[in-house]
Amino acid sequence: MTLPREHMVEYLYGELKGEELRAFEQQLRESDDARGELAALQATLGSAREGLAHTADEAPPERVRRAVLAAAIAHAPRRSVAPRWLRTSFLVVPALAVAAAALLVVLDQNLEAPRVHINQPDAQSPLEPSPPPPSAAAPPSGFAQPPSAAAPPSGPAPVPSAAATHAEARRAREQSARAPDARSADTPFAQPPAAWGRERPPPSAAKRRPADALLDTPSKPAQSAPAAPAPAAQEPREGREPAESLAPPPAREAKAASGAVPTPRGAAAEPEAEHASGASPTRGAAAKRPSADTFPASTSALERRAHDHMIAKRWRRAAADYRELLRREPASKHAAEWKKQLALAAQALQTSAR
Amino acid sequence: VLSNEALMLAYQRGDATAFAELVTRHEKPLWSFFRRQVRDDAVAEDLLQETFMRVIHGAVSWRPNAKFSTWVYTIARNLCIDHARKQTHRRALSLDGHVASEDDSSPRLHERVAGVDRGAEHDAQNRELGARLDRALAALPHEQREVFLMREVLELPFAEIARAVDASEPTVKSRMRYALQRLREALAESAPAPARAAAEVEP
Repeated sequence: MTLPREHMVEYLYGELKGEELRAFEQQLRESDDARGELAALQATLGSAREGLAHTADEAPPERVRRAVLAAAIAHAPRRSVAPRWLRTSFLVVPALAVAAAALLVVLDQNLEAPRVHINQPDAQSPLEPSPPPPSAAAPPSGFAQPPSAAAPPSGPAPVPSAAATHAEARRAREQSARAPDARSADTPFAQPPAAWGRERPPPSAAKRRPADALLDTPSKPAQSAPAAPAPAAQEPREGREPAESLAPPPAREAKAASGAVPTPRGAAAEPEAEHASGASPTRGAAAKRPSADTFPASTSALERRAHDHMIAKRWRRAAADYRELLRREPASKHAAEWKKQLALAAQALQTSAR
Repeated sequence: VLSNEALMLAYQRGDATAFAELVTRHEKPLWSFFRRQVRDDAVAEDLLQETFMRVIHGAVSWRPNAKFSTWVYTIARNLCIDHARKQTHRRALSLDGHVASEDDSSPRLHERVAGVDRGAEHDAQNRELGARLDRALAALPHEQREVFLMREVLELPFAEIARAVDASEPTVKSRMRYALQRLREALAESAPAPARAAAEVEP
């Protein structure tokens, strides 16, 4: 009777049970060869375990652990603290928008009849939409009044026809609907997904810091950011195109000629304008104000701070710090690690933006 | 003590400390496994990091119907195979690279450097045995080496190894037995002269 070879390994590891174990032990007692082979395998396994034991406690380099944990934090599945119905806000908001649009259409149809009497000065229908509030209807400050929103002429107003009045009301509604869009480009709410996520919304143009400028222009060195304000202001401008187009051409040309970036709000472009003109009343105050984003002189301090930013999930700042580290010491032995961390931070930023 | 699966579920809920605990539990076995599989610390480091990265990226879709350790070690094993495939195309040996020849019994550079301060005889013997084992493992066929390391370093049961390497359990046990037989021969050949003489005298 031959000994099943695989049972030898099972027996060696104590995985043979019950009837199979008894049968195997019986065969062992009857076969000298089997006993010899088993003893040899046991001795080999013992030696191998001794040989493995001296490296069993060797840990991998600490940098692997750091990189992995940073990635684990950056990519941790998001914990939702909001109630379930709020977690679906990504769906609720578009649904509300559609509902609002549908309501507008319904109102528009219902307003057809009352609008026939709109010419009577005191007979405003309760269904007639109230004139848009000045803050919403008017374009953002810093822009010339668009012709459609200009104040009526002082002379006797011509009596408009029903169709003309309807068109005018529609224009007013469209304008009031457009105005919040233009305004939202200046507010942090312009990026709702980021605001809903764990990552803080990206700083608005008014709060832009040198570190943010570094992030936006990765191919440019840090020193070039203040000297070239246009790229830094490019991003907010894109969202403002509709509102900006309301400005009459002369106003835009004048702004372009003066070298200032045409922005709806003067305050929004203040840091860039400050750099461009070099004569801002707030310059002294800004210089005195302690800036958290000033890079520490010591590389080790900067590295520590970058690491702290990573731990605290301040991806923008961490990326800026790592970029600065790489700029300062591109040939450092830690450069590869910094590049990894920078890539992680950038990836986390992208993820949070999505 | 929370199981690996419970920790992974906690990480799925956003608890990064749970993942740190998983790293603590598995980094050493994986490090040992990679070093013996690829015999290059720099590559082992990359593979170790890549393994955890894949776990991180796969965390969202992970379901607790499979054992966490099997999943992780399967990832590690696949990375080793990918690396071995790449290596067949460019067989460049590093300065510290080990040539698996029979008459080469000299310790590697890092072993010599690290062993300078250790004077204990037992420690030196273990180190010597470890070096001989590493060489013997390097000479094993890949399938036998991975089964041996999964069992002895990663401490996976044979059933889990079979799942990880996509083979039947008897096949895995058979590979293990062949691995032990080859190791026995290799260790006997590379044993120091007095020990070899003693082994030859013994029946």
